[in-house]
Amino acid sequence: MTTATLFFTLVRMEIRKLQGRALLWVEVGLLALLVAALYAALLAMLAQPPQNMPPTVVEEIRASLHWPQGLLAALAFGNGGELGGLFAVVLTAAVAAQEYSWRTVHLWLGRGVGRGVYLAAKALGVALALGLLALVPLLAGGLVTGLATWHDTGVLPWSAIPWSQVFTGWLRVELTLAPYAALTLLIAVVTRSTLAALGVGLGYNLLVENLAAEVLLLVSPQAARVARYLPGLAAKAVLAPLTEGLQVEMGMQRAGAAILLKPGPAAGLLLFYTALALGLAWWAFRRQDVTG
Amino acid sequence: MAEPVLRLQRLTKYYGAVRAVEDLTLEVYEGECFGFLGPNGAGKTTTIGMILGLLWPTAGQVQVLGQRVTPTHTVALRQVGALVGTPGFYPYLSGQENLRLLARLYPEVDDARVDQVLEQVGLAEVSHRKVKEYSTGMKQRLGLAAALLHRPRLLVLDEPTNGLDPVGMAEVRDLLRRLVRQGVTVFLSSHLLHEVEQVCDRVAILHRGRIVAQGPVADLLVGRRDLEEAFMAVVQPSQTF
Repeated sequence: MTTATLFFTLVRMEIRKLQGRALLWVEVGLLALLVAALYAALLAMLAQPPQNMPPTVVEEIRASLHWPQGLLAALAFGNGGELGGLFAVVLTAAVAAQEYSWRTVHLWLGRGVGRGVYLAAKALGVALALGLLALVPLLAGGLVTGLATWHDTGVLPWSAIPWSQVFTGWLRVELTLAPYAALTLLIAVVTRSTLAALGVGLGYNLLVENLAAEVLLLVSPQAARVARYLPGLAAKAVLAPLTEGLQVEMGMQRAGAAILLKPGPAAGLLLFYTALALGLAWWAFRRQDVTG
Repeated sequence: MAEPVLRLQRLTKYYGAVRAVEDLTLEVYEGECFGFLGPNGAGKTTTIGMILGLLWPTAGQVQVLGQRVTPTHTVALRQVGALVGTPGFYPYLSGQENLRLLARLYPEVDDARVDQVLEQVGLAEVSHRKVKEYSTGMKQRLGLAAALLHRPRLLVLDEPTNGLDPVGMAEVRDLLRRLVRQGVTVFLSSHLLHEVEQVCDRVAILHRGRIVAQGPVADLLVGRRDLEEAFMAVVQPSQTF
């Protein structure tokens, strides 16, 4: 079996393992439920908008809750700085670190599966699962906004949907998830602990990054320029074309918008962070004594 | 003399300043059952970890079927079947699904072979149950099935009868004898001297990380009642009468 054949065999195995995991399907269901619930709440709010809300804002929100804008806005829920990031960390921590606690990593390595090819297949398996997670808000949000559109207008404007934008938007969202998943994979490999991988991944996503961004934005304009290199703000920059024109923004607030990188360099930066974390994980895994 | 199936040359492993094994040299030949004996903590599992490319040796080398094995050179391990300690499986998959997953690594292994090894280790009737519902003994049997799945030339077994009842232990011993008769080479690590005495042709005795005796079982038994007495004589010489 050549290395390439082995790699694709391992990727198919990763897919099989993921399909069997309840956690993946729980995450899919939960994310769909949260997105649908959020949209339902927004629609309920618009049915009786607050009196102090300007009519123009009400109309902008209403537009973002209808097709075609609603579809693109839904995608953003899955990004790395939002719900998607949390789900990506939990899934990656479980998928990578439990191979140690279940001793299944021994099973593969002891059968002559190379460490590099094993880790590469694991990373691609996680990436495919993240692709599914990135798709969930689109489907759930699309369903709710589709129903709202049909209810309000009596038609679904299929021809107005910018399909290529939807597709590239999905890729953008997946890209924003990648650095968080790669960091979690790195911690899982180094510590061999699901708890440690979860703790560091979630701690960084929920606390460290937001805190660092807030502090840097407050300190000085020069410090604020440093903040744009954080994955969260780079993710925001990558998603900017997706949310352009939308007045309802999720996550890190508009304070950072002025200092965001252009989408191209921001995407490069996210790829760099992902490659760096994966490279370190590979280096650590190669040197590791797989004991226990 | 034929090329050994397994060769350890001055194999050494330290964890920091702590010696796990030192200067291990031994050879295992085609078709023999080699017993690797030692008390708990003697370094048996560490040695097997290095044979299977799971641990980096501090010094020395491992050769399997003439090819060097390290954690980054593991091609020779494709012809090895192993059972190390408590075998690891995906608890949310059934025994059969776990083996079918493993079988994808070997194009020559089909579903019929999976069912055959499950039958061989006595798990056919529970093969559809999830592994998380298996007892320790059942997991051990599944581990053995996984080790046999691809008809390996070398079987490396670390305490294969752990968790098995006396009937299960006897069945495993019979299975090992059958496999050796079929030409499979077996490297059997155990602290159960009776088990090794019944199955193996040659043994090495490991004590505090060093080989303290090595040779044919018959030679070690000269002047001794059984392997247990021979074992005690080399690991606790002062207490032997």
